[in-house]
Amino acid sequence: MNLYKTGTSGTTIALVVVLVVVVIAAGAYIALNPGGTTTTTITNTSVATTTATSTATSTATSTATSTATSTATSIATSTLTSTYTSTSTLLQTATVAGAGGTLVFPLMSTWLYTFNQLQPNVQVNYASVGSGAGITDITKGTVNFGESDAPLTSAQYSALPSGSTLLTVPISASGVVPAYNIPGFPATTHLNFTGDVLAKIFLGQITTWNDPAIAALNPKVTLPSNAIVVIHRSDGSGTMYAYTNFLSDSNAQWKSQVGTSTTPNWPVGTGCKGNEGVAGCIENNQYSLGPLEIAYVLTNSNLIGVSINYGAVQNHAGNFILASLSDITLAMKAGVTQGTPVPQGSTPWTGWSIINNVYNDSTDTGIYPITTFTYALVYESLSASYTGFTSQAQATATVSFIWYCVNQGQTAGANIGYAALPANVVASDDTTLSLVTYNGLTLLSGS
Amino acid sequence: MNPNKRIRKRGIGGDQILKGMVAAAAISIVALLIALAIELTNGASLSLTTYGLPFLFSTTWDPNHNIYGALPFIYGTLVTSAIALLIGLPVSLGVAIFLSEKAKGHRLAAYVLGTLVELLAAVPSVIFGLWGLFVLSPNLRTYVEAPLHKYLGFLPIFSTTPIGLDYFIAGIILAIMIIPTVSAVSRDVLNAVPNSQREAMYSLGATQWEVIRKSVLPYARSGIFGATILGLGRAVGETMAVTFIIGNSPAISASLFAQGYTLSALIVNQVGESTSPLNASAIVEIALILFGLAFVINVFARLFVVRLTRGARFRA
Repeated sequence: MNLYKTGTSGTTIALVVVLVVVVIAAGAYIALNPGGTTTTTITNTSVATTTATSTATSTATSTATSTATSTATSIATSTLTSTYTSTSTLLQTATVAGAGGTLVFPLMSTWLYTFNQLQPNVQVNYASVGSGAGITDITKGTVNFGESDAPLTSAQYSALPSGSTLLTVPISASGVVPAYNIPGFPATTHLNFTGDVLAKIFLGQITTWNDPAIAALNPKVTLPSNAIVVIHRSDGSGTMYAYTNFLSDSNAQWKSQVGTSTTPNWPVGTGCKGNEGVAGCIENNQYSLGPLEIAYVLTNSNLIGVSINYGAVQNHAGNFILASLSDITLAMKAGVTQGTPVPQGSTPWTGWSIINNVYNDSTDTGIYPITTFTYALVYESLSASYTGFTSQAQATATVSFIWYCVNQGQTAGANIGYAALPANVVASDDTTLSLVTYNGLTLLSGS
Repeated sequence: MNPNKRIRKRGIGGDQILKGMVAAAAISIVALLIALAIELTNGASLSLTTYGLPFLFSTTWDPNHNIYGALPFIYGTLVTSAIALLIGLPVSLGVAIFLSEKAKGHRLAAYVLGTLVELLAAVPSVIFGLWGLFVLSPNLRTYVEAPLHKYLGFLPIFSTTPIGLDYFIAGIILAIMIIPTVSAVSRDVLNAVPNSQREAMYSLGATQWEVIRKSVLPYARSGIFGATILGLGRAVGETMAVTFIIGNSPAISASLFAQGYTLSALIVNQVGESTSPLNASAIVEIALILFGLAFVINVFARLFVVRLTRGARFRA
């Protein structure tokens, strides 16, 4: 017994020693190389905030007074036109911290890497903490830019620092598809859905697959009589925001009872964590149905068409569209030209969505109706006071990064399931970004 | 005399420093705990003043309409933890008894097995969650839940058609997660039982089972109870694994095969997406309830252990 006990404690001590060494090594590594990991981001965020108060005021004011308006404009123009095409115009050394939604994270990771290749002096970090937390962080000024899958609510707008203007910049878009698992259906069979039928399924009013309402949309398919196992996301997500937005537009009862939300109170169904959780729950349960993000569907061909399939959704023109990236780009294009005009400059975005705009009024017959923007959030007037910026270099780097995402960064999305912003959205984003100033100096000139 | 005095003086100086250091360490823990409680209460104050006590008994959680109630989450936490203990405790005790009593002649085997059980505790909970979702859940549903529902479905606890995401499977995952903790501590407790206790029983002609049941286990019961509480603490607070397989539906059902929700799962699901200060505050209040629940469990456990050991002393 004694022998045994000594053995245990010896091993334990050895394990602890190894663990401590590993932790210290990891800590040292992270401290020396501020990389793109979440841990590092958090560290950098706090550093940015603490230094903001001490150094910013003096540096900022001196730059503001000494640099003439003409100089600022010339810097701005050169940044916009030549920075990214040649490496000759390098931005000054700066660290930029961002935080927000998880929907955009795979694309954001690509952007962080490619932007750093072009601008090695600039280190951009992004914490994928959720849209709500991203809004909280930008409200408190602990990050240089926020990110959200939904525009700010009026409560969130009123929580912003007084006198501030938060700009909303669409940086990418995603679509939501109804995914299901019905054994025996060939991969090429895609069921048709309407918003109203989906709403009734998620309200618990349609409970079986062979319900006349579903059958009427799918006359060529023999539907099983099994009960529909309803699946949805459990974690708050922009995907669910877009999906419930579409159901709200499609069904009056859904709108009044549940409404549009990142964390709705689902009348029926099972909540699974993340896209991978929803996919797993659908895969494991025959006759299940749940909303999945298009990026997940397009990048998981091992699942989709094998154990999971997804349906087409009817748009305003009456066509059933099986989501593809080009249909989503079409929806973005239409979304910003039809219906409620895109809020300009400092106008609040509360309640604005592509879905609302294309739901009632779509001249384009090929748009995918469940399409949603994800937004970068940045203050219009950057300074040390509430936005926590420490230098003009940091402000320029922040705006340049978002500009890069909106313009050159868009091509990066195709491989990982993100649709490119159409030209009209890019143009409107560029105009918005040109409003951003640092201590009164314009950072980018308009497009 | 003189040299002795000098040594003693020097000793006292060192003692004082050490005392100060360890006292500071001890106090920092207390301070941390108090700060945590204050911060949670602070964060939850908006929700506390808005909803008051009914928050604990309300069953609706609807951030979109600012209606919040904690009962489904408290219920889910208690039910899954209870299942975890019900299944995990006997298995853990079995492991502990095997390692300390039965495997005595085979030190190497006991050592390897004991280390493996402890390694189970080092598996990150998100891995248990993914494994639970993709492997455990479909298999348990098909081979355990479906037959139980088919033949015993008239019982309320098996009345829901199983889909593999429910209190039962969450409880099983929790049981697997608490087994390493409970069995490792129990084994150490059993190992600490003096051999004289066993030898006395054997000398009276007792069988090994009688020795374990009448001598070893009663002697070690307060320690085993402490191990159980450690396990319960882990079950109550466990987040990731449960979130994957509980079904995340804020409902209260007598059926073990129904979807539920736990306090910690709600926090991890919604903390990043709060849409209003009230919403954020309600989530913090859920954290406060979880904190309080863990605290209450520990206090009751302490009281129970004290009573147990006193009883043992009286009998001895």
